[in-house]
Amino acid sequence: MKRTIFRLPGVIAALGGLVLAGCSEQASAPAAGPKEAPSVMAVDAVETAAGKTEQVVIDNFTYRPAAVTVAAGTKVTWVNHDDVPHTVTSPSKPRMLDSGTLDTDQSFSHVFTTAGTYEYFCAVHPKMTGKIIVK
Amino acid sequence: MQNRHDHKSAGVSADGIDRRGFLECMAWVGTGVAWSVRGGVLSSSAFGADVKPAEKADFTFVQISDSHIGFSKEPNKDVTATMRQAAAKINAMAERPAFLLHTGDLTHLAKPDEFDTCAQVVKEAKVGQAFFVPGEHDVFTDDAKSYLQRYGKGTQGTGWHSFDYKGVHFVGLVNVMNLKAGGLGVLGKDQLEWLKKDVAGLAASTPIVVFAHVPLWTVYEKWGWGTEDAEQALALLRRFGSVTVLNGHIHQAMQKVEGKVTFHTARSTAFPQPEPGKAESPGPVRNVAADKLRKTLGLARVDFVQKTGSLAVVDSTLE
Repeated sequence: MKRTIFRLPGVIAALGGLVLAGCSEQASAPAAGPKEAPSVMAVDAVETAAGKTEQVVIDNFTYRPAAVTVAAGTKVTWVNHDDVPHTVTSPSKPRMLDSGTLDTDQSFSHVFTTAGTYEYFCAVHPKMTGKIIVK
Repeated sequence: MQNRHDHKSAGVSADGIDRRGFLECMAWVGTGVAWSVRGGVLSSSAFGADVKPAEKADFTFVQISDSHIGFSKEPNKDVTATMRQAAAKINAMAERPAFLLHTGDLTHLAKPDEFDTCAQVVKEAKVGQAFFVPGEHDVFTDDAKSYLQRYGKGTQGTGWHSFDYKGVHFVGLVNVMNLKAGGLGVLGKDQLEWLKKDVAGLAASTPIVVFAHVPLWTVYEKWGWGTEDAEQALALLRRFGSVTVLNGHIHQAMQKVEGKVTFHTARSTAFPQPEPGKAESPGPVRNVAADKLRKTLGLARVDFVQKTGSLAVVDSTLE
């Protein structure tokens, strides 16, 4: 939360108490933020306005947590803590999520902008599955 | 129950005894146990005891697997060196193997230099020829493009192929492409159709050797150690008197006999993986003492005796 406030004080000020309430439920927040921002900043601003980032850790051939519910605009980062490579890959083509090789300690991020359930798996170890639910 | 079987590979043998209903096979598994199967009774004896093939082999070939060139973590920071050691072991064999089979995961990350290093080490092994099938580590970054460029010559589809050697039919299958979320290894419709045609003209007495990366029997479903449509492939091979299936993927030696089919997995030349379910995940076993590592790595030799149509799989460790 602190990081969010430092990065976009204007948006936070505008949203006021909503941010404290939990930052992810406000569907209107992303629209409010990026309007005046330059286009390069847009995604970042949307993400920040929506409230947060989430991390999924890959450990012992498992995505932890395996299911994450986030607000639209949340940036999800996967980091591989195993000593073998894994991937974060959408099950069907065209693959929305396609991390490529994530070797030890490498990470991959994706900003989820649209509501829905996004399932994914590891292309090397397909028994590994996870999903991101975007509200 | 897995020791029961009801066949013999090649009908009446030289001594006039019809061994139909027998399966004879011999294998040294793990570091200390040898087992042989005769007439449905499985027996084992300590390694080094006098359990030898009754007949001199007509030819011998070797299987190496899971060299994972590019891996550089515990318990093996130099997987090229241990693969080299496997090549040296092959060169020290009394019988020169006719050829070498590599059952996949040549590389760790499918990088061009990893593929090249693997090819160089394979060349160090004095074998007539080398045949390959890919593992998932060889194909996952680019849908097998780099692999097929280097190792796909003369193969079909995503790398499957077959050849005959002294009356034995060898089939290399690919079960690491188009993997589905939550699933196991997959052969796929195209390959199964090809396999059907490939074996269609063969006499039932032809010994068959199938090699593929992921086991064609379900070793441990939870860890993905199996192949979803393996049964469809095995159904096509059921009419044959002797089928030997050689796999890798699980980095440990294992054997299973099911009817006329003998399943075998080879050790890795790079690092061991845990026994099924004996760890939280199938990742590398890390806590192996440096002086013990080579006892967990190895290769397999297969002896073929034409007269009896039997194959004996002999596992050995690097040290």
